[in-house]
Amino acid sequence: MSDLKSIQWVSEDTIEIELGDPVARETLEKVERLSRWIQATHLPWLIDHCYGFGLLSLVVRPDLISAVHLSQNLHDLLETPSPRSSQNKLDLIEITVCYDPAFGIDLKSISERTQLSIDAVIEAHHSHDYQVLATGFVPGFAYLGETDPRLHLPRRDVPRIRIPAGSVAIAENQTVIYPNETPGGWHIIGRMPGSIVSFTDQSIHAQLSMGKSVRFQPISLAEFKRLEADHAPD
Amino acid sequence: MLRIKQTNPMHCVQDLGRYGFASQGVAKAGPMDSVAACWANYCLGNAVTLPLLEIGGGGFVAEFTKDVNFALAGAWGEMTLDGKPLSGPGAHPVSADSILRLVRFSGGMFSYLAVQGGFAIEPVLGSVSTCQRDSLGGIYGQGESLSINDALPYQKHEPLPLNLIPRRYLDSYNQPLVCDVILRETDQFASDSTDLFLNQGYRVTREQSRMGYRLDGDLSIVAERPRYSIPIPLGGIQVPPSGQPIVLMRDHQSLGGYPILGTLTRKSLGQLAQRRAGQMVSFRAVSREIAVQEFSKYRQFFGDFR
Repeated sequence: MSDLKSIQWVSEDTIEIELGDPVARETLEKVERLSRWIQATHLPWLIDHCYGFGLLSLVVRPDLISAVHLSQNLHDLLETPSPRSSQNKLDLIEITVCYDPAFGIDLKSISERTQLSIDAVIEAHHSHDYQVLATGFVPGFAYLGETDPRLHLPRRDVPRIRIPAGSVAIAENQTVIYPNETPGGWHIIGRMPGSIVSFTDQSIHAQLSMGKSVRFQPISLAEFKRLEADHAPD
Repeated sequence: MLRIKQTNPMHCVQDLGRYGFASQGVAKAGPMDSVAACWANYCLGNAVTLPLLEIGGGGFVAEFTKDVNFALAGAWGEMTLDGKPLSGPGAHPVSADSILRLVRFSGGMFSYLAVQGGFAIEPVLGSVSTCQRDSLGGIYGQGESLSINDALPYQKHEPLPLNLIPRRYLDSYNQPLVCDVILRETDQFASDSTDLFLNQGYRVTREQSRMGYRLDGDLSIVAERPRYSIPIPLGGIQVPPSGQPIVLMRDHQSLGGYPILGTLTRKSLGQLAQRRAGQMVSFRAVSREIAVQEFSKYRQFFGDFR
């Protein structure tokens, strides 16, 4: 099987599919196609799914689907050529980030540890697009990659107790946005105005999901304040 | 209404869990022992998906304000209705103004209390299951466990024939437990890890929560930490650098940074959930086919099973 590295049942109702190197272009294309398929198709056998770093985990009804059937389905799906023209635009999410030191509280230490100027750190962060490498941890949280190799740093030795919602942070080869105030060990470089995730009693809308790409758009502190005021509830 | 008179933070509302949102990091939640929870609803002729109470540990007192049939399944111990001892797990009729007391458990951790027709609670993201970590579910929708004076509405129902729990399915949870495990194909463990895991006994430690149960064995398992986090299946056996396994329970995170040795079958997961700190557990490998056969039997019998 050319497209699937392995498919294994990890419990009575959970199938794990290995799609390849989490940051490789081919893997991310497969993820994008699978994500479209899951969202656009009513699959009576599918109860839930979760994607993380090249592994797609599906919770299924084992009475409605066999491993062989699923494997064939996925194979056909990934083998069929798809129209590529308008796809990338649709899936690119633009997120504005204010890199003011008031928000980017770790910019100075990142600059010292990477031997880059603060401006060069900021530039390296927003100068290229990212892919969603995984989602999870808390609702709305997504792992984006890969960052510029010059920005790769291990996580902080001592995690912070409270990271404000909207904080944009880096660690290892990834960057993230904290959807809510939580503890966290990543290096904070800026903040986005508004919210990356919204809830109702019936649904959850996370801007960042499997198969999406992200572009960061730098904004000034004044612009941040204006946008934040726009997002404030009436 | 069921009015809560005495409670603790391990008493909460559950149904079979919250599905369809794992990709957004939302926990499944649901009953720690889903077999026992299904029996409680089954006794009353309810759909097993209806909201019920998970009562973790004793210290539970509540008053029924209307006549109804209720059922208890799972952990058992000193339990009384209007001061008279209840005969055992299963369905019981109750009249208005009666007081139910779950004083203490002599075996097991979680008892499930269902009423005929289910408790009427508004779901959040498709489920009433209380998840403190995600601040979702429960009576008020924000993930709160039960509080004194909480009132859980239910309808007065016409008497229906009640079902019994077959004796062979009643468990004291006091015997040493052997859990069935579907082993995972992975290269992240030393070659002797599986044998070591299957051949020694483990103690359940005090570090047990709705997210996971930490176990303790004499010998440690050697595992390599994966470069990236991986999706975690319910019942997955995570091995952190200490070499002592953690079994992931209903409120587990969707991704984890430690390698996974295998996954408990859903039935074994419920039985492990019922074990207290200090009790002994061991593991045996089971083929995925056999495990699915058993899982499907439960699914067919109960109409649903998660």
